[in-house]
Parts: sequence; C-alpha cells; structure tokens
Amino acid sequence: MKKSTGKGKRYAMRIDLRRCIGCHTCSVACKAENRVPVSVFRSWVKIIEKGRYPNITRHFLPSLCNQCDHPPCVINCPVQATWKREDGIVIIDEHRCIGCKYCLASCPYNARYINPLIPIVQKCYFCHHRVYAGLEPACVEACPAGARVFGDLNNPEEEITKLLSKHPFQVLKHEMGTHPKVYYISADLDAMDPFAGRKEWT
Amino acid sequence: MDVNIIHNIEHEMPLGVPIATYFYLTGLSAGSFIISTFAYGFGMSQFKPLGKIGVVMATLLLAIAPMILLIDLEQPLRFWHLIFYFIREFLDNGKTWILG
Repeated sequence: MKKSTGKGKRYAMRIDLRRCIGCHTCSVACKAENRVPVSVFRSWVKIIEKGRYPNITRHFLPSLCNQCDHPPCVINCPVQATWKREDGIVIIDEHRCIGCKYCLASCPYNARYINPLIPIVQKCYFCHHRVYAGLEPACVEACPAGARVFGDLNNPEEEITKLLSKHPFQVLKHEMGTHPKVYYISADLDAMDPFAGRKEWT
Repeated sequence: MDVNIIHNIEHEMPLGVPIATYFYLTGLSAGSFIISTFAYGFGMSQFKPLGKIGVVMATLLLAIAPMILLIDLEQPLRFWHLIFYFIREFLDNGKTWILG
C-alpha cells in the first residue's frame, strides 16, 4: 500500500470466518502494537460452542470496533472528544476526553474501554498510525490464516472491494442502523447474536 | 440448540455508588424543600421547627449532589471541558439547533 493521506478513502475490514482458526493472534498483535493494558482488549475473539456431544461445532467471531458510519458514540459524547475522520475511522482525542463513560454505554459492540492506567476511554482505530504510514493494521498483518483483509472501499482495484462484491457478507447488529464497516463472511448467526448462550437472558 | 459461550470480552460500564448517591441526595434535597414549604409557603405552624432545617438541607444537598457527578468522571479536573466545548459547539451550530 502507498502512504495514505486519508482523502477520499473509506477504510473497511473484511473478516472471513471460513478461514479463521481462533488462534487469538489478532488479540496479541493488537495488545503489542497499541500497548493495551491487562484486562481490556481492543480486538478479541468470541468463541462459542454449539450442540450436544457428540455433535458439537465451535464458532469464532473476531470482534473489534466496527468504525460505524453513523456512530452512536460520536453523537453521545458531551465534549466532542470523539469523531469520525473523513476516511471513516472513528478516533478519540485523549486530551479532551473527560471519562464520563457515555460512549461505553452507547456502543452496541462493546468496543470501548476505560484504560486502567490513564483513566480515559480508548478503542480500536484500525491502527491509523500504521495506515498513515502505508502499512496494514497489526491484526491484519499478524493473522496467520489470512482471514482479515483491510483496504479502501472507494478503490475498486483493492482486494477488499473485489471480495465484498463477490461474496455475501454480514455485519453485526445491522438493525441498530450504525452501518458498520467491519464485514464478516459466513459468520455463525449464534456467534453474532450477543444474547445467544447467555443463561441469564433465557 | 445448545449454545455455550467459551470466551468473550465484555467491557462493563457500571453505574456505580456515586450515581446512586446522586439520585439519593437530589431526592433528599427535594424532600427537605417540600417540608420547608409546609412551614413558610403554606403556613402550617406545626412544621415551623423543621422549616429552617429544611431550607438549609435543601440548599446544601443541591450544592453537593452535582459534585458527586463530577467525582464519577474518570478525569474530574477536566469538568470545564463540558462547559467550554458546549459553548464552542453552540457558537458553531447554535442557529441550527434553534431553527431546526
């Protein structure tokens, strides 16, 4: 990838669940790249198990901030400390954030967290420091199965645009109207349902 | 179909003790104000001894309660951002808020 200025771009990620092996390399790479403290995650893998013995299947769902087109966190921030850049990445001004936790409450994807060391809100931002330098996000580069593809949706030549035009894809919680830009291919419906398997909700 | 979650991360956002205390104190403040109005507003003489305490408590608690909301912030010293950035945003977009 060339060094990017962010003008006229629309960054997105596609995660192919047919390839994901649930190895948590993306979580580790993200932790190492962004120095995420213990007990919180910017990128993690949800694992569910379906069925009864001996007919058991295991499904993975790598999760991260979905970089919504209509982000509820941006609407709810009382000090405008978080906003969507023109290339579609939602970022946080850590010097302006007062830590009121409204965005944690409004995020439908549980992607934000309070940093226990410096008490402000942080989240995944598609490693925009790496994207600016022309690299791919750390999780994409580290994925051993090649399940993650990152790119610019406005560029028809990029791999992600070709893949998304060929394959049917799913997004998380499309009914919330957030228009997320993390696309899943052949994700399990129960893995995508946040209430499935939670005994306190049944 | 049996579904079991093996591993998932949930960053919880607890509405902690400070928020509960805030509602408790504002409720207490409103109650004391009502008791003071019994004495001074409606002229019920049997509430006269409680009237003064009611006024003092209502004012004090009304001053303390927002402080607890500030303590609940992760960065309490940045509370002025709320006012500053609201005014800045109002100067930028205030007309559309009012007209639209």
